[in-house]
Amino acid sequence: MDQMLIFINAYLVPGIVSGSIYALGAIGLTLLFGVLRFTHFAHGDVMTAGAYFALTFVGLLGLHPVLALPIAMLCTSVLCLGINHFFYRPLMKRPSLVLTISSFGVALMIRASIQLLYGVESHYYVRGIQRSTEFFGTFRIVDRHIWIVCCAVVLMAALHLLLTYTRLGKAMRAVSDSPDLARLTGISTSAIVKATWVIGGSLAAVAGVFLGWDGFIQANMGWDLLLPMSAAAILGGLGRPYGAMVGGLVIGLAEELSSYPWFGGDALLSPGYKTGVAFTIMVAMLIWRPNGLFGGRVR
Amino acid sequence: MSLLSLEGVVAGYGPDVPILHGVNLRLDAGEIVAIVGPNGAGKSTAMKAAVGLLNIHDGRIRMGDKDVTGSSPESIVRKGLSFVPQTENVFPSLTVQENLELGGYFSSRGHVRAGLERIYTLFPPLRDKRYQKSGCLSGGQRQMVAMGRALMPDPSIMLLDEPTAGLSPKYAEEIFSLVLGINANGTSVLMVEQNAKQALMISNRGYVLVDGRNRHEGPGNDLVRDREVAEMFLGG
Repeated sequence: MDQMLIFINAYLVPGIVSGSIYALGAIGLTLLFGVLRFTHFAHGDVMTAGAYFALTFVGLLGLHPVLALPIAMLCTSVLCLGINHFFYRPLMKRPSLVLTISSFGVALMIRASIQLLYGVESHYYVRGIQRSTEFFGTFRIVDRHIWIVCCAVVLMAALHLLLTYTRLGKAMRAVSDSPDLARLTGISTSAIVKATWVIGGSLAAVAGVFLGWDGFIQANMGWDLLLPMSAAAILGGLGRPYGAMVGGLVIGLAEELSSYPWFGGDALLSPGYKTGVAFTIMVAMLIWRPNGLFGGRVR
Repeated sequence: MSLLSLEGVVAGYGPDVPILHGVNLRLDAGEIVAIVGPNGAGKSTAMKAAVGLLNIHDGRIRMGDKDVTGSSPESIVRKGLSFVPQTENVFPSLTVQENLELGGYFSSRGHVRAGLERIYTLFPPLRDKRYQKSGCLSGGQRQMVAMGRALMPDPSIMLLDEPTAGLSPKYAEEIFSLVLGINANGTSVLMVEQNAKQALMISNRGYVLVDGRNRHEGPGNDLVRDREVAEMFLGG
């Protein structure tokens, strides 16, 4: 029984939590890839920016991190629209590799700006011991983990409804399928691109806040997540938002469960190799199934 | 006044190499007009130029009295012109109904509902397949979805790029009779066709393009009978 509790509390729940965070980030990556056809390497740093926007309001107004979410989402959306307007839009007619490389530059700019404004040390939304809730009279889950997973599920459900039933969602999928045909259907690509930035940026902001809430806020936090998020997006198939959700969860769980002492005694893999697990999954996918599990686009 | 006219259009895919070297085309209200010619003559290119997908180096494109040279595809489409490309003419990961709904992207809800009913009446097989992904359909059904999508906004002009390419003769026949039906409902049709003879026979007028230039033009039936045109590519 003790072993079971340890498994749930120290491996399964953290795996689901980081999986939810990866999924939120990976959805943005994959949506942007579908609509703009380039990998947005600054997405991790957009997450960081979201975490710092929230930190500002948590600090100023003493808000609960969850209440700071809408503000962080709004600010990050504006940031993304600005980045798109000044950096990516002028390069849109160039090969997508140019955009990818410029997103590296944007990543460095965001990170450096954050370091200038907030310094390089770590920050926290809340300090001290966290409340937790007991389930079935056996295991306890920290309240923030419940919040994180519930918010992620609600946001993903909302995204599902948006993509499936709204005019905007259908137009986004259409642009992702075939940009030229979408224009020939009267869909204004630039409006869809903006909407995609708002959605991708907002979800990245939420991922950033959750990441900071679950640990600490630091200028490199998002950049460090780029690898597992990309692995999640590739695992699910680029351009496939539902794939990214599953991919995120799989990568999160794989990372945590790989260090569980499955065969008694020692951890199967030292927790230091967590990033290696995501990387291995990504490389394996790229070699054997570059379309991802759910058939994304290679182009 | 013509519904659509290309006047001395020089255009190509890049900024440098033109494929059209001064093409003149016009489509009048109520007409079916066919563009025929050998491979690489610039037939499809002329259509893409008309819908704003290409760089126009010289010449003018007009819709009625409006100059639309250099306008974006989305604004041209919103003025009542629909284009059905030869390939990639459906959104494969969207269902048949979603494809059609997007055809009415800039119309009101009521208009979309009425449009769906109209399209399902015109293409009965699509009604049964409406919740299927259009990427899973056969070539002929896909062509129906593409045409249905283009017809959703009830356009005054419809441009078809090789609507019968890759279809069986039976399906091609069906597409041609659909074109006649669409025309009878008040949409003027400009089409590029490999099946030149059949296309010219249902057309009011035809153009023969060769090497990005106008070679012949005239009533469809005259072109079919024209010896030079026949020798060139109607197979004698």
